[in-house]
Amino acid sequence: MGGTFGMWARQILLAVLGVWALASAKLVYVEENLPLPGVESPPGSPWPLPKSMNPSLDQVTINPAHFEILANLTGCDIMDAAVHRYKNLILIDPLATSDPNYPELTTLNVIVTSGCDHTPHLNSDPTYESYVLDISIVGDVQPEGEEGEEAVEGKEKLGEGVASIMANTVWGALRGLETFSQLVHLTEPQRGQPPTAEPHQPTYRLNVTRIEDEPRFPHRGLLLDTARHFLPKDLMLKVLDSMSWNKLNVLHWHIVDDQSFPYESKIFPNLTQHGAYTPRHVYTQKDVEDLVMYARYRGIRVIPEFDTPGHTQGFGKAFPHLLTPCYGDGMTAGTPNYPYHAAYENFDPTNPQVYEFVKAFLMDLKHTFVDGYIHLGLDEVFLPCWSSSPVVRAFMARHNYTEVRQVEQHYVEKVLELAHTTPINYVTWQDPADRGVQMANTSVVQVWKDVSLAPNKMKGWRDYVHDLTERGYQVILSSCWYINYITYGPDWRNFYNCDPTDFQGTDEQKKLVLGGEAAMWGEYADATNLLPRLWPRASAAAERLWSVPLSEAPSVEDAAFRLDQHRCRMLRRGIPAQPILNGFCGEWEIPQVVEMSTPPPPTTTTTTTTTTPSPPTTVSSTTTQPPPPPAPETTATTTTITLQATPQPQEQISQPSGEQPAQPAVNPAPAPEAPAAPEAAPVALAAPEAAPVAPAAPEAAPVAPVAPESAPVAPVAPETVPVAPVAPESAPVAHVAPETAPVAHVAPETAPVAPVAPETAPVAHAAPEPAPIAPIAPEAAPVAPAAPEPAPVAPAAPEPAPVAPAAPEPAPEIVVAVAMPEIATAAALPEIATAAAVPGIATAAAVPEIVNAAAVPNIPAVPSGDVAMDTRVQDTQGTVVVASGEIPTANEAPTQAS
Amino acid sequence: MERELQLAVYTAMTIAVWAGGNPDVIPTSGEIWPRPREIKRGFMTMVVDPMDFRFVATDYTCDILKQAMARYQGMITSQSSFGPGCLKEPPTKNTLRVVQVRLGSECEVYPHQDMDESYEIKVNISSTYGSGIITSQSIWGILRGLESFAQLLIPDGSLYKLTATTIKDYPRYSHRGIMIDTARHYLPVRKIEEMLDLMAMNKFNVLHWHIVDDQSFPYQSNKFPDLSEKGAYSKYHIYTGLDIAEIVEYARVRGIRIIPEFDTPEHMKSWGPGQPGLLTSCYKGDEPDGTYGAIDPTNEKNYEFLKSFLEEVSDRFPDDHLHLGGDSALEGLRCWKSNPNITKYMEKLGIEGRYDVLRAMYTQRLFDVTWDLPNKKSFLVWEDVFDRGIELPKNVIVHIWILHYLDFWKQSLREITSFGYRAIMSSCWYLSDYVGNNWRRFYACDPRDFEGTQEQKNLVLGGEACVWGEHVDATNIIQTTWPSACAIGERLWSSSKDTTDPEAAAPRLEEHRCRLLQRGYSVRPVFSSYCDTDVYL
Repeated sequence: MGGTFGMWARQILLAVLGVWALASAKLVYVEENLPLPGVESPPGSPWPLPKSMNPSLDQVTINPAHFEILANLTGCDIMDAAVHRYKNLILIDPLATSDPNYPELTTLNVIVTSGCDHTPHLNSDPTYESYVLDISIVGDVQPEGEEGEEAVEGKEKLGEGVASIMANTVWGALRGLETFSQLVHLTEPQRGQPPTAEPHQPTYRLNVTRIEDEPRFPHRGLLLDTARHFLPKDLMLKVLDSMSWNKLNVLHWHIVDDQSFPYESKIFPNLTQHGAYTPRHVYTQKDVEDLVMYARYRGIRVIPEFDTPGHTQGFGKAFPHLLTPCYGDGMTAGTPNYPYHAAYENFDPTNPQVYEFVKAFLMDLKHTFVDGYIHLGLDEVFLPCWSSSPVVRAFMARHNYTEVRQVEQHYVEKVLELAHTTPINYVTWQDPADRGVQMANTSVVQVWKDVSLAPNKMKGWRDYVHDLTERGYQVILSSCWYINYITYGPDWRNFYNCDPTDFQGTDEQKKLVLGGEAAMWGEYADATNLLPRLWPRASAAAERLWSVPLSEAPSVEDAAFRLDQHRCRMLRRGIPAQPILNGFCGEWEIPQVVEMSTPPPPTTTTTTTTTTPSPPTTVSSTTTQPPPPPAPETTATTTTITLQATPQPQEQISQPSGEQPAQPAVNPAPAPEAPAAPEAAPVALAAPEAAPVAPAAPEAAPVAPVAPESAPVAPVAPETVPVAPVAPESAPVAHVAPETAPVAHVAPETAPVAPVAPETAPVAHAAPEPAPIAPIAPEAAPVAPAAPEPAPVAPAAPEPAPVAPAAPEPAPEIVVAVAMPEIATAAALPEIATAAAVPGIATAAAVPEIVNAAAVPNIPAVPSGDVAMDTRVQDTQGTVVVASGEIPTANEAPTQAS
Repeated sequence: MERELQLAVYTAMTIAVWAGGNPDVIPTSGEIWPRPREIKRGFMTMVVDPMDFRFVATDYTCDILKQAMARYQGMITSQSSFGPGCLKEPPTKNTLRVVQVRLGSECEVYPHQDMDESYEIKVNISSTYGSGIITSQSIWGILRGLESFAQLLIPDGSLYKLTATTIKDYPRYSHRGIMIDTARHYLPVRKIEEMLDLMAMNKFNVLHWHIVDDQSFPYQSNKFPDLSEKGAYSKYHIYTGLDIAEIVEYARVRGIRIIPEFDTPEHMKSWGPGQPGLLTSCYKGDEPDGTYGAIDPTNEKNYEFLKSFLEEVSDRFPDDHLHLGGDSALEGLRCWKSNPNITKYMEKLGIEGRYDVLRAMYTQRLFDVTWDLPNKKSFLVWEDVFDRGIELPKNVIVHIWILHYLDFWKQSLREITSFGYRAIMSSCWYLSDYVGNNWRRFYACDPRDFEGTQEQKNLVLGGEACVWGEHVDATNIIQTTWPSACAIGERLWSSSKDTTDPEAAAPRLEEHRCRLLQRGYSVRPVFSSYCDTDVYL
């Protein structure tokens, strides 16, 4: 009886669930058929929404031949690069022209009232990035237009467009330029236009508008995780580009973690040698420098995260002694007890070498990343390993600790102290603050927990933000912006509907909220899918961080249209942002090839019917003849077309990547992107163009067997080939080098010394095994260069090593003392010294100095933008060669053919 | 000289063995995805030098075979330039220089539902040279065999290694499909071809092309050019007859069938502007409100139109199957209910208020129309058609899709097969519903995993992974589909006994993902790890 009832209950439950699931399943797929709610945005609607905007219906036009951006700051590298960059972004369609029926806007004046700033930094004053953008018409013939009489002759009827951006800083000017570039739009043809109509000629338009804009929050970030998956440098550059289009200003670089250690440290090259996935999955010092520079040009700060004491398996590969040996079986050090802990976990809080290491590593980061803030992580410490260790227990007894938590606190306090003495400002995850550790008042606490992540363990993020701000901490929020979490459909709405100040609290508390970060964790994201997954979903968070609070914001339904437009804008600029609404972005989405390869409908009619393989017999007759393809005309047309079309995507690619106005060397650079990443954005546009060739080629000519499967490669490769000769001197060395490891990496810093280094190199490899101290010892070795003799001595180091454990205290001190000068070699040190001498230095003041100092050894000439540009160019050449791992293929092909 | 230099570089690069990082999973090497029925490994290792390697067709041959050999030859050549391996042996010893391709019968022209895809591979060392043989009675088996052979090769510097191996392989399901949707978002021809490439690499054999829907009509008809002129997103967002011929041919030489879907009577809004009178006017009170709904079943001309239109479709798509859709939309019949002509028509027939009957009548008429199509033998319909209790001809294959979150599809399959209909299943395989990293869920689902007799199970021909287009276009279709679809590919091809444990499959999947990446496709990661070539992306 009971059983029957249970069965009934189950059936009823299933039926209810079924109805619900049926309804939701249907809804998901069918709602798109219904007209979408919300108000459609006019073309040229900016994202994120400016603070105040008064658009008029009057429009002006732009003539690509005349248009100019004039900046009042001369010789400001950031401004010069921005002017060039935005001119290309504004004049995005090479075929578009001006519309003679509208007043022409010839000049955009950019006026910055302060000087040329060097590096962006955290500044809570909204005027730091504010701007006023004004677009108007003068010399109008309208009766009220008093200035009409003075108008230029011949233009009286229409008047003339005038546009200006006023900003306090270059950073504000950058944001203003971005908004201006988004206001400019292209006319689109009407849908369903008769086929006889002439090809649509797009024209540039923009509405007369006055915009007064400033950011709502000073910290608008994006977290990228390069430890779970390596993200190639070029991809990171694209992310920085697209961040600036969304007015994000912080790249939080979660650079290392348990899975891998791709960051090449100046002083601890061993970390990368053992911790990176392969020698090529590495960010060299030069890569990092380039990224920081590229970000600076876009007003983006780069904050590296050095996460300890958990998430440190990546460190442990090179320096196992830094990790705590767990006692999984209760007696033996270094034994696992799954699933509670592995054999080694967390930095070992009882080991003084750990703190010496942290101290030295912080110094390294401080000089490589110039921002003044470092993210110290300090999240998710799993304690079972510590509890298992008798050593930790003894340590606790020594310090009168009763709980393992106190050990964590001990570690955190020590690390924060080291940060103070470095000195460096820091961001941490919320975990230590939650546990009551006291932190500096300049510190920023990042809230990531939310009840949705662990319903039993965590509170809602609002509670955390409330508690932390109540205790006076500056807070940034990420809890609701985990972009890596995917749910079906328009989940960007969830990101859009989250507001960091949407919690119960006083105004003072809300002022402590500095902003937030969209987090793109890397477990399941790499270069194949990062960009489409990131954009436009992270744009939703970007608007919340820049624009009005949620309570005053447009509804998600309205925002959807504007976001869709923004998505298309990013797509056109070369970022493969994924769609959020049904539809299409414009005719330009389909490469022009289509128009040419598709004969006009009437002709198609005849051709198609003949070539269509309707009766199998005809086809088999064609197929028995060996290679000739069914429609040779097609092959012919498509081939010629590709030849015409190829140059175009190149230009498109070079636009976003170019800081450099007229550097011919840049042009070849984009090419290798194409073969390597058929998915990547500019390439996504390029790929289809190359496409027609691919299917045609293999079928037609088995002679060229390289082409078929790797279609995108084949057509583009020839472009890359000529590039190769340019670079070989520098490139292969730089990138093959990681194998020969410590030498190559240290070399740039200590160039003249290099010849000695090879001797020390083998030590670096051998060292880690011999135990605790040895790993650090090799660092000391490169310092020895002055005297070639010490080098042969270095191999002897392993012997001293076993001795060292007996006296752990003195050893590390020596090591650090030796390692220190290595950090910044000659140039940087004096500046650091001064900076350190001043106790409460404003970051702003201190940083530029250090930057210059740090820049000097690498770029001996001038630490100005020009140098940066040059390095960029060089570098792109470098990457050309790496990416052209395919080049041999291209070379082999002809060989085989002949 | 250049090659020697290249070799030297590789050798230099691999002096130190790199054991870095802590990736989630360590890939296998030289394992095949989807897993073959029988695979025996020998002890001997051979070397393939791509510069000194070729396939030779020793028995029957044809254009498909020649192209396939050239294609795989090219793949082998181009892939070898990657990889940090090194040359350990001089390329004269134990070198496999020739693989014989033994096709045992004349080639068929088009792949079809009952094609034979079985094949055998023998790679071994006889005397001093390696010998390789790929055998099949059918060209389609040869294609699958070539793919498996290519997967045996382990990149090793500029060469490949492979182990002596014997494979006997055949598919478990005959219908192994992927559905793409080009109506919500247009997919460029090249993107579709890229999908076909990846399908062949995962031994899929059906591309179900949901070509038009409410949102747009990219199919360019010669007989009715207005349909795409007024229904496509733009004059560029179309598939011309040439495009379709190109895609059909591209698929044919890879052993993939193309089954187009023209969904009626609902999901047809984009047909309306180009074919006045086709759709039912919706009424508000006594006046048409300017919107249109499902097809107008009362208009005789519409059946003539469908006949004429589908004849052209039949000509262009040579496969003997056609998907007729038939799923319902949420507001689907609102217009039928509001339209006074339809009400009158139903009164005349004495079926007032019985819209299900009207719908059944339409379906019956549609089958009458398609009955005469020259080269079509079988029709697929979404399961909604069956659920409405409409009597279906026995040549209909029912496509199960509803309730992929619960296991109700099992009940549907049991019911449908108990009536003797053939079926395919998509319910668990909606890839566009991508939620998290769920390939394991896709892997676990088996279309024959329902209660029923062996006869019933044999009526389940296979399944399809559905990639709906609401949030998918050229920017993300490859990453959305792959490697989730790889998991489905193995479920549909391999023996269920050998593929029960996703964790055992993981290292093979990782190798396969890196392989596809190396071949140039943006297949997304499903583990925290790396591929040798991902630094080039």
